[in-house]
Amino acid sequence: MPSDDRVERALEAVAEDRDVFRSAVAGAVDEVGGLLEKQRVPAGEDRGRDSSLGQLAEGRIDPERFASVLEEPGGLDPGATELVERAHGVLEDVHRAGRDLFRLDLGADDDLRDRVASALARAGRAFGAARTVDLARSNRFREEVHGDYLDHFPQAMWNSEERGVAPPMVVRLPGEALRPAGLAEVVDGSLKLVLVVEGEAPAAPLVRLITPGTLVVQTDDPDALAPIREHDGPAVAALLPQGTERAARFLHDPAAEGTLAARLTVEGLPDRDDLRPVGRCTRSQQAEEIGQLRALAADAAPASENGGPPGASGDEEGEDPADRLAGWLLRQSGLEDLEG
Amino acid sequence: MPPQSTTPRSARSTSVPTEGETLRTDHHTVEVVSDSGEGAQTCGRIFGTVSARMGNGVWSVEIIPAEIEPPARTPAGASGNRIRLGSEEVTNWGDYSDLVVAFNEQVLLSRHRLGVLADDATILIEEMWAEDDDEEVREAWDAAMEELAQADYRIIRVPMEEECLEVVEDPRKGKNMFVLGLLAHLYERDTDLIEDAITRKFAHKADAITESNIALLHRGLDWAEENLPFRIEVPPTADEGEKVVMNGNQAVALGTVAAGFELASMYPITPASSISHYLGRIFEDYGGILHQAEDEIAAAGVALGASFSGKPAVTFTSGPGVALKTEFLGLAIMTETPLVLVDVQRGGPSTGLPTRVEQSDLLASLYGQPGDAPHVVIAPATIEDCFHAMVTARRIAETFRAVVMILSDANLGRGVQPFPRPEPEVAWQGSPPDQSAVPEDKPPYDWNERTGLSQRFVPGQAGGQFSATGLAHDEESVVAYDYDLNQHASEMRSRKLAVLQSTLTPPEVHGEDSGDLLVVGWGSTKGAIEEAVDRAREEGLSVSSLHLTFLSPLPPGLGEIFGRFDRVMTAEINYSDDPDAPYITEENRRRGQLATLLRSTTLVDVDSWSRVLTEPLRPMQVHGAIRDRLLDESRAATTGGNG
Amino acid sequence: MRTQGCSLLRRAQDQDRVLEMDDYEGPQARWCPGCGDHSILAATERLLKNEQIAPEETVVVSGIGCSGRFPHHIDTYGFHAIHGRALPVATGVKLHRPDLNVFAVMGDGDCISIGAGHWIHATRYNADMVAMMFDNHIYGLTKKQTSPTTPQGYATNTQPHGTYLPPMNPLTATLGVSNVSFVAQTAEWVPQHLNATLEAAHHHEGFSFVRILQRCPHYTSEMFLDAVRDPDRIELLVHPDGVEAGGGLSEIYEHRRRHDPSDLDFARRLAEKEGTDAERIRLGVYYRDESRPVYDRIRSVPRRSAEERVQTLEEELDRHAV
Repeated sequence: MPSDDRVERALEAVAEDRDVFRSAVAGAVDEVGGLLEKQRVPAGEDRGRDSSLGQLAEGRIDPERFASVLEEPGGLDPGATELVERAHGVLEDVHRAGRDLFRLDLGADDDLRDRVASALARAGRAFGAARTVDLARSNRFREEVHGDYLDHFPQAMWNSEERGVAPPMVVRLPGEALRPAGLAEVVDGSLKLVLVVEGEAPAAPLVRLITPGTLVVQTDDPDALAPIREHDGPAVAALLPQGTERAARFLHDPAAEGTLAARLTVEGLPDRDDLRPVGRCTRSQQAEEIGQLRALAADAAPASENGGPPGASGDEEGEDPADRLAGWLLRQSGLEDLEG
Repeated sequence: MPPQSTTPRSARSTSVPTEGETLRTDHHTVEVVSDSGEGAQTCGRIFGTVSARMGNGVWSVEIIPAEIEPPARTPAGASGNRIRLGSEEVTNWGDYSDLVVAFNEQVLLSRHRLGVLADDATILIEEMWAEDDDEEVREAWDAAMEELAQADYRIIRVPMEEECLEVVEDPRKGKNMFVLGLLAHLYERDTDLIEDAITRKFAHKADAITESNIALLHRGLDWAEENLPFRIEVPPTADEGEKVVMNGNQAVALGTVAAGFELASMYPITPASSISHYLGRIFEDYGGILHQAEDEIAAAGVALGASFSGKPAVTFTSGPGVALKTEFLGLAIMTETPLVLVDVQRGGPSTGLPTRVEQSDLLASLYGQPGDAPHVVIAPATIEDCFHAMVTARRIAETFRAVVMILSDANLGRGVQPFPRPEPEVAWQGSPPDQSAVPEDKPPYDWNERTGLSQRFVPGQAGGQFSATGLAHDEESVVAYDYDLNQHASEMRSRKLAVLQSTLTPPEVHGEDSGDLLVVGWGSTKGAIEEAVDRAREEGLSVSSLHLTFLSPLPPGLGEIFGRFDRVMTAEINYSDDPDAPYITEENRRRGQLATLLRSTTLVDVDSWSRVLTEPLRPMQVHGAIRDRLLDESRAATTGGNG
Repeated sequence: MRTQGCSLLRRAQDQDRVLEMDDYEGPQARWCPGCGDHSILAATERLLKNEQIAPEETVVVSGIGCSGRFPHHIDTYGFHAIHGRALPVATGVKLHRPDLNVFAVMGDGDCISIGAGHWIHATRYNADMVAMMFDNHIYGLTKKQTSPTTPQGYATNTQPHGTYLPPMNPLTATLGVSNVSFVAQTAEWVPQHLNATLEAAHHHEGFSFVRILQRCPHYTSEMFLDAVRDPDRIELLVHPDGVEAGGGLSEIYEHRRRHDPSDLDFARRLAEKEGTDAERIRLGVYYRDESRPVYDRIRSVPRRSAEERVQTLEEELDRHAV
């Protein structure tokens, strides 16, 4: 399947999430538009016309008299109006971007995390715009604090409500660029990220992203993206070229409550000998990832005797194996400060 | 253009084309009738659309059999289309049909017996039945022909089946295209436009089907050319403006979308259901939800719940449904929750005449809710109005926290007419309700003491929590046990109508500003009334008309306008007592519903003329009533004037 | 769950606040002292607090009767509608604003007599809301008339020689409706169970029908007296997928039956015998099925901006162009 088609399928898998985000933005466009409409002082030939009354009202309702009986809404001062107008423009921009908003194309040298973060910050301008309107109309806007909300509104600033309608992202990238380190901090709330991989891919890069609430899927079958649709929490998927043999195929689906065994399904695990370096990802790195996945899968089984990294330490008994894995991964990468 | 004749056209005579010549006329009415399923409706629809595209005024009505699958060749099974063509805009269905094409003699008989054909109508009839193998069929044909011979029709027998067999194997599918060819020749229709329409109609079918239909069309054209010794020319008036063509129910559906409604709910009821058929197909593309509820009551409840939580919603129904929704209307009015209701009126009371037009819901709409329940009632007069009324209704409902009822009827709902293409504006859509926090201490019914208007709170607005209630309540929506409070709250709800009325402009008089008689109408009868008035003026009678769109509140200035006429009379499609009938006196006479309303609000002695003939008014009937009032001296003396 | 309908501008307002019981408390309730409605009101407020549901994002819709006053006594949005018709209004709210938490409050006459049609169809729509039917077996507000659940033989003002017919069983009726997804019974005098049941109902995605047995001290003070005084008269249906006998319930109620709420047939059999002399009053979740289609979810459509709608309308008008 050509990668264009795979991108289509990936966009389909997150169609509902796109709708949720676009719906929220569409509502805001109209709501802010309505707010601005109320500030508008009719002038020139517009005086004596209120198109909101519709054509049946022409010659039947006197618009000036109609306007005079309405209560003046709390007017915005000129500064605030200007801000709201700019925010409205941003909302319209984001809304008009349509599907492009949710699509990214990466080159081999691009940094996956940075590019995703900046795309989210670009889409996030809709949230920044809504915040700006909210601040402007309640006279709480401070240029030095909120000044760049309309240009750039990174995910780190989104509140939990906004995270609930996060825009999904579909990223087309060459296997070399598939370096998911750092993605863990991006994939949260209800964010859906689908990586459409071209060419050779590393063996099991997404294994590092497995946490109890995150849906993680690595597959070469677009149909296998279906669980993303059902999942309310964060999800990340790698859609590999069809027939990939040198990469693992697995699904970690939090919907299957309970143990890791129930949540993790490994369908294909390449042999250590088949691994090839992909970009900067060496064979040994890949082997380590495969090892982790194998260990997780083994850990999912009742007893783990091989003393592999995660799940081996008896003092963490009762803890979820995925939490243990996450802790172990963090320790491995010297990031234990982030833990908890 | 009014007819040239200076005599009233009550003689049911029409302009008859004579042999070998082309009749030029500014109006002609043609109908195509067949058994259900033979395609007369498709034929009529294409003929109407093409005529509209050629610049003619058009008003079409569907001829609908009473049953879903009526037996073939029975009078009850007549199905088809009646199209009135005009040189200028056609505003109503006219008087009688001038030309009929019938696929069998039984459906023709039904039209004859209903009295819808002009005395000297031209009839084109499929002749195959005369030679049918079945003796019963031949006998039926003979009997029918005998009955029809009593009238002055000019009957032309057409070998439809025989001709079609030259083109296709199964002429039952495609006879309608042959007939379309006949009409295309007779009325000099643009063949390219017809072919285009046929191609579009069968776009989703195999090319061969389109081709054979076009071949049948040409067969009809050729046959007519050779065999029909006359033609009819209704010269179109050039009109540059873009037009759309649809029926009133489709216009309501599109108006719903144009007005920015996001939820519509309904329960199936004739003749309103087709609004939802259309909306059900397109509404989701606009982010809208059409909800078919378990009953009429729930349909109103769902719309009310949706309105309470956001943008106003709309519910569609017809008379019996309005009766059922009444309690919810009261709740909407008491809680000042905006709500729009469309009533596509039919004959009543009770089940009445589900497919037939009446204007009998006016008083029930205005006053049918127990308790004092002030609300807005508007009535579209044209199919175009059906579209635009939705926008105005939503805006008023929202601004005034009001219930707005729109009174359409089966005539508008089913009638098809071209009208200027609407130019939708973003402003028509309205914006989603503001969900910003409510300032502290602002009550949910913060009535402006002068206007009664207040800002509505919507769930999601922090600090705005309140419980709407159907119980009498104060500004805080707290149940009122205080007598003064009820007086005050009632005043506030009622004041809104006066305030809306203050923004209305007096309606314009059609014709002279003063005179002997003013005919007042409302709703779908506008076209017929104005045409009747034009005819009467043409013959020198001093008559004008006035048409009301706002029924509650009534527009200002009515008393003043009425005062400029010696007599005022309403023309309506609802029941009123004939003043000359036994037992009927000036005191006990039940008048038309609009007349009753106008008498009480203007104190003018408004007379009424009304009929419940289960069909739209014919200009001729209103014309007759005008002549009756103005030329019959005795009547003029007894019914009194406006003095 | 990701829901539509909530304004982005509203999302922009920072909602970082901890909600306490008094954030939900309305004006002093005006029910009779000892009326079971007080307990249900407290349980509902507790549920909202425990779940930290913002009061402005909650809509309580009620019908008419003593229970109808419920929304006036809680500081959420409310709609005190008309007799029997809380459910259509609640359905309209949820359909238009799936982001809101909707509760429908009804009495026995309200829900299963005058509102019977809506009750059956709301069960089938399976819109996501909690429907609480306060069942005191009597019309209270209108002064002691026979209701559909009044026991046979019980004398009322309209049937002074004793109620003629055997009572209706709202549980079997609800369990018989296609697409039913949640049916539970609880009692206002067992607050731990009431709380747990409302919590389960709230967490269920779909139409959660909860029959709450409720005392009317004024007209039917003796109605549930035995069961109130004697825990032996009660049997708890317990299951991890329903409600467990936590909060000390297991110490009080010895009769407990493990019932898997996914078993519809058995739920119906349990409900069938409800109220017969031989059987105890059963409290618990009879049935729960999250796989049923949820009306507001399946009907949800993406919002279009006004500009997009105008554009689509222009295309539609093209189809009618002459």
